[in-house]
Amino acid sequence: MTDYWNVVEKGNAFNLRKIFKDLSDYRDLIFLFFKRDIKSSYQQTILGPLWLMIQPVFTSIVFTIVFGNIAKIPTPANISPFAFYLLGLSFWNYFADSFNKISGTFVTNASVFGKVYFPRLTVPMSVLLSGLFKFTIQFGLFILVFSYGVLFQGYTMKLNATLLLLPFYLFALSMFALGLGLIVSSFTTKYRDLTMLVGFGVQLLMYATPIAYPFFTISYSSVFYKLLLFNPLTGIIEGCKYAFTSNGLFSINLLLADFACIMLVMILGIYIFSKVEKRFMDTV
Amino acid sequence: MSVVIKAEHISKQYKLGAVGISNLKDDVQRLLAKLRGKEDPFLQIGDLNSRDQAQTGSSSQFVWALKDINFEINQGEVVGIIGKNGAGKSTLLKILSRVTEPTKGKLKYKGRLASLLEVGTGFHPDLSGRDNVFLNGAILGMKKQEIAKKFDEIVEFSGVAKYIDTPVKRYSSGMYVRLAFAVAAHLDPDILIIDEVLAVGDIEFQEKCLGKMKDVAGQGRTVLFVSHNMASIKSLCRRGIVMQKGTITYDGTISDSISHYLSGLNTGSNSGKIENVHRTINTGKVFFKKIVLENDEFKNGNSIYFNNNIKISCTIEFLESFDNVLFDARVISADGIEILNSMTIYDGDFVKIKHGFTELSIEIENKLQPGKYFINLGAHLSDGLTLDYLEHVLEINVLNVGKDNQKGLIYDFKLGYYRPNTKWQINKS
Repeated sequence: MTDYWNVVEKGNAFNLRKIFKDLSDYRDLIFLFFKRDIKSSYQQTILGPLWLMIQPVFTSIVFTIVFGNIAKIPTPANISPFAFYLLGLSFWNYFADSFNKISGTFVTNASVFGKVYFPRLTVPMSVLLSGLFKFTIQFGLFILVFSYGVLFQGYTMKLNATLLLLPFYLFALSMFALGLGLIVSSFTTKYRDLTMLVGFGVQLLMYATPIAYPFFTISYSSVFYKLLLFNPLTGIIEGCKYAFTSNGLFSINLLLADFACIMLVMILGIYIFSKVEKRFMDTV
Repeated sequence: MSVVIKAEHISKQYKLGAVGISNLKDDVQRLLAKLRGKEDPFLQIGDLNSRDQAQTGSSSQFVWALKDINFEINQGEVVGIIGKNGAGKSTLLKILSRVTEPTKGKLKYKGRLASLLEVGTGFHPDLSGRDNVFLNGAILGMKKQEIAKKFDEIVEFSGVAKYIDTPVKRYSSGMYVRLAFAVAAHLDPDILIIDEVLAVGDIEFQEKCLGKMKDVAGQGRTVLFVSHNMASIKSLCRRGIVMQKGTITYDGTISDSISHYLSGLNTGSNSGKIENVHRTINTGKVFFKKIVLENDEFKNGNSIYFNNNIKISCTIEFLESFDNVLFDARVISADGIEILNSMTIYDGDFVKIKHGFTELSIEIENKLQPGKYFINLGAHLSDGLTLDYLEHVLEINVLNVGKDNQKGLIYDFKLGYYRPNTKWQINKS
């Protein structure tokens, strides 16, 4: 038996190191939650995880028709428009799904949280893990379509060294989804108003992020250009596209600024979450 | 003996009513007070939680579910927490298991603490029994390796080995609960907190659970146990804490605690007008009004001689006429066990009763061992509907002497509840 006192009282000090230690103690639980999510999502379906491919394929088809054929927004020349949209969507879906699910952490898990204590952060962490699983499948699909374009459709492959930054991009997206999600989830324990906002807000955010169009189609003089630069996702999503097409916005300064902003949001998220988790049962 | 749990002035306040714009107003006030470095203004007000608040006409929106709870628990102690519904037991357990934080005060504990406020927390219906054992175990704080090591034991204890790879949504409710309890029973915490989870499964499984919990208690672990089942509390615990309206009213040995708790229920379990506190079920059509112990040996002492029949008479008001009524009377021991039951239909039929007042007299054969007992009274219809039910409505003290100086209890300790007429035959060789 340990010999120190664990103390439970109102407003314990915020201790980031203890939070990470608790998470590492409960890593088995994170993994089991992840397994539960994946297994239970595709129980009693015939296509199983194949469904993960169907959503981006159809969205990309719609984008190709609407943005490519009707609105005639140009896409980089060395990649098919379909592959271009698929690339943006796989990263975007990872961020948006994770953000959406993490925002519901307290409300959807209230019955479990109300009965037993475990570090609450394990749930959002497992959401990120299952998001990564889905991303891998969707990204794999993009690689297939991309290679097909190079091999059979005559697109010239223009990869570059920033491909090595992909894990960093993913990490940044994860932390941003985590931070924003935790903030929203903490605020929705008492007042549900934010839930309403997040529902359509995420959809709107997609249009404020260069997913369905390349960044440079926005004219330099427009207000929207500057606005887009304030979105921390812009630099990262553009970076992902740049890695595969050598076309688009790649700026180390912008990436650093985005990353700093994301880390700030993440720490703020964990701080608010850790305050709220101790008393949310009384108001949820 | 070292102290492993310390509760220091634990209090918990709740706000009544739904969350709405008024909460925002309170939150703003709270924030302003905090910014000015003052104490939370709402901590000054609030009533103690009470079931009869509607009657006392309290207007405060804030309620103290717990107020200034203090206790220390040593390593290896098995403590039962008892009290009426709404006494604050579950709130206390929630704070002890860290589900919520106290509004004021501190809880300190040493070692690994696991709580079992519900069996099968986090079970996912679509997953197999096997997956759920791992998931539930991890939620309760076990490592994957630990669960794997105990997996066979858990499955054997639950008795669902054959179905372990079937989704639990196909399980019967009994199988589900057995598997869930089996996981929890194989936790190895230093401190275990249990809320009424034994009230599940069939008798055989309940006994098995109780046995398992006794094992756990025997291994020097600290156990806190909440239940309304006085028999299981008594067989499991050594120490008892009695709670009432959010405060601790008694802390001592388990038998003393149980009798303290039951005598607390016994507000005015005397002959005369019946108090509403005893009324646990009522449909508004029938009311027992008055009860009298006819052969009370000392006026209002509620005492009868050993081996002397219990004679009770009561007045009942019927606001409606019924033609299929049955009455029942039960004798409850001081530690909460239902010992005897008698109904009018045991030697008769359902009775017709007209609108108005009815007199009822009951004579129960008394073979009870000396001690304190309570009477429960009920009026029901033939289809099982209860019209009026009264708990602990009359206290009866069976004296340890009979009317003709027949000896009641020779020894100082209690020997069961009932002394049947027995024929002993001793053959000398």
